[in-house]
Amino acid sequence: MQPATSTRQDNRRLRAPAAVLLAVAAAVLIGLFDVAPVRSQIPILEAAPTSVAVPTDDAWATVWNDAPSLRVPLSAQDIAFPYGGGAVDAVTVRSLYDEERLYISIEWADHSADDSVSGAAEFSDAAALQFSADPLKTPPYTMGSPGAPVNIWQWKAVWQADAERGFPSTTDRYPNTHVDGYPGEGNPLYNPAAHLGNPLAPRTHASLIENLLAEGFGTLTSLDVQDVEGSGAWRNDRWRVVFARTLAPGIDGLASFETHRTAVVAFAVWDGASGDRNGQKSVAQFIELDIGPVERVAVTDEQAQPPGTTERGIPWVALGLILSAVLPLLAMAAIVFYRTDASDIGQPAQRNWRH
Amino acid sequence: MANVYNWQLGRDMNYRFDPAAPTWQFAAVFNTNRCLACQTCTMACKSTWTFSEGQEDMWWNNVETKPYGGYPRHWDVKTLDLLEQANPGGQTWSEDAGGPEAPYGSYEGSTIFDAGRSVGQHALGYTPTDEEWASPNIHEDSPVSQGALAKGVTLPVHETWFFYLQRLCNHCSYPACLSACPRNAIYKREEDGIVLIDQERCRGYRKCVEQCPYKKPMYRADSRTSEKCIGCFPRVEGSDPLTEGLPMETRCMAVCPGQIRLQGLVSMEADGSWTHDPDNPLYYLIREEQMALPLYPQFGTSPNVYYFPPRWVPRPYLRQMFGPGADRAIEAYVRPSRRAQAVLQLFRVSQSIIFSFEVIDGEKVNEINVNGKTMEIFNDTVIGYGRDGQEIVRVTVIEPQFERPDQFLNTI
Ligand code: SF4
Ligand code: SF4
Repeated sequence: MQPATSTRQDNRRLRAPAAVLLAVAAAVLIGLFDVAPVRSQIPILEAAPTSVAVPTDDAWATVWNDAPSLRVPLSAQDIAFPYGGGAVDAVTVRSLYDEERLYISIEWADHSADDSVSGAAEFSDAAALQFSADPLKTPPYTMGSPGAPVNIWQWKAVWQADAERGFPSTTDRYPNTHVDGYPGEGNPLYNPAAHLGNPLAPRTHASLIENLLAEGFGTLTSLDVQDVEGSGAWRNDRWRVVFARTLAPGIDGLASFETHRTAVVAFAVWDGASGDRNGQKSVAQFIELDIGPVERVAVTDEQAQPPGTTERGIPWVALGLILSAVLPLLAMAAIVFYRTDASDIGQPAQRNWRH
Repeated sequence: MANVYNWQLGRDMNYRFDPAAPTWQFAAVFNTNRCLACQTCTMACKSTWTFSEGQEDMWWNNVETKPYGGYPRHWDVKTLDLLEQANPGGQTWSEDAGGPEAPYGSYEGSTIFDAGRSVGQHALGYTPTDEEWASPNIHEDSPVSQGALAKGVTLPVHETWFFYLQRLCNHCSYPACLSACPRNAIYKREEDGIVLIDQERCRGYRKCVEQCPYKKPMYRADSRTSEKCIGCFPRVEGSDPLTEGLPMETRCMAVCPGQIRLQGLVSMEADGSWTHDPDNPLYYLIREEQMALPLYPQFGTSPNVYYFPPRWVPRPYLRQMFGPGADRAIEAYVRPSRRAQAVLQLFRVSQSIIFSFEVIDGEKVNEINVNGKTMEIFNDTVIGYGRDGQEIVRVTVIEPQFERPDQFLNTI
């Protein structure tokens, strides 16, 4: 496995010929010994069944103690503007499921709990899980792409703090402030973000996990359905966050979870103290998430691939061979492309919008 | 990354997006020589747009005492310093003015966009702290070199000096706030070039706060989004009943007791150049007379608020702040041409935006000596016209005087 992400350009120069050599060697071996295709070298997180209740308001609950865990390395997001992250080098992930729900916990070391965005230069710790919003596709882990959407669940330390301590008022933020009064107080017009339904603006949150959809950089959108539950807690210089959602086939941009099926999941962590926000984050590529034991089947159907996406359920070795030969080149081309202007994917910027 | 022409720099430069010029561009001229620092503009803005919770430290319009004052503190020095670090000693101009499309010469240094590439960003910038936002009028009236106060000061350059700098969002032609936004939540309006943050899409990443060199987008902790000057767009659109559908100047402009401000719209060509329009008072003062200059043009955003530089301030400081056009602009201001004398009367005589003017000759009333050169003063009449071509205002160079009749003495 190429550990989740980490593709620094200087190394890549050496990796390209190496990958081609490996691919050729693998092809020769397979030809000689007729080895049965295996699914892939992508690491697998297996969700374990549990009959004990999994609390969504206690990330450190003992039920997690025996859950199998997987360490996933993270690296700085270096594909698209605004680049950054790298402060968190790995997460430990675990998963459980019961008859109704799938639970995933994510844990990482962080010596400060950055759970306020009150200051002009204060940013929040956060963590997100990313799934394919189309069970037949593995979208690019870089926020999906047009036609290959991703479903993202984001937990924010600041929402956790809002729930525990209340949304900070001006006098909470600056205790010596004196204000005679606010004309028009309570009139939503004077808080346009809240008035327009910006999901960041409300003082209370239906859930501490924001359920989002994206189809490429700059397209992140909060979904109408906010049905992901969870919470996080910081203990002994570590954050742990638990996410939970009903086991159900995906519809309308929601990830699909069914027992004895495989999903893909990627991870991102933001370190507020490092100024992380948006694409300034530490990221991992997709890994596979087996919801209980999964019988892996070899599939022979070969289909044309939409660019940047991987159709799941096709012969992995054949595809792997082609990809391992072509990917280094594609990766280089992609880097050149993305570095040139990746963040321009999305809305045209100079336009004539009116409210 | 696109290549765009920036006439203020007399050269092409890097920008994230291809040029997409509005049909009209919001622009203003400020006469720093006349500002009282009364902060009426500041309070007019505050009481119109930023009086709510979470906006306590937000001043879309502010007036700061230069050189020490700044809101946020040291905003300009910090950005100048970042440019210097990125390109040591390189921020120079070749001063051979190259015609109307390079009136100040050609900038040879790094813009914030050029320098941004070296740090993997669309523009070089930094995020000010709470402390830096906390004192909007710090160092008010603090002069440089107080030692000279005992002996007094004389023109052309005062040894002891300060001046007031009036600041709001420049509704830049190449906005760094807009190019910084990873969500493309910032847009520049086609009809007037006003730059807005979409409050529905903003997620409070504050990349605009980081990359606007003028530090005019501000973070609102109450909505967890960034907000900025909206150029009083409902007024500019003409939706205030007072002007009956005609475009109206912004609040900060309209209230100015010092009469230092003139705001309007200039017509743009599709390629981003200004339509030749010498009868538009802004075009006339900025492009024809070159009396009004952009603030820190070297940053590269092509800002659209233009300043008459303060005439008593040491020139190297002014050249750094307003570019190499500073000397010429002061010359044009202290001994204005006959036509300019008339146009200068249009400041603050109307809330309706003046789209064009006409001058009717009057009698010669005086002849004075300015820096060894003769200046004739004529009592010409200047007429300002609105967007519909109708007369808005008519004023003379010599302000009419009235003597109060005896029966009204001591009455109001
Ligand atoms: S209202 Fe006019 S004179 Fe007063 S501070 Fe503002 S710009 Fe200066
Ligand atoms: S002054 Fe700053 S906020 Fe205003 S348009 Fe220019 S870059 Fe954007």
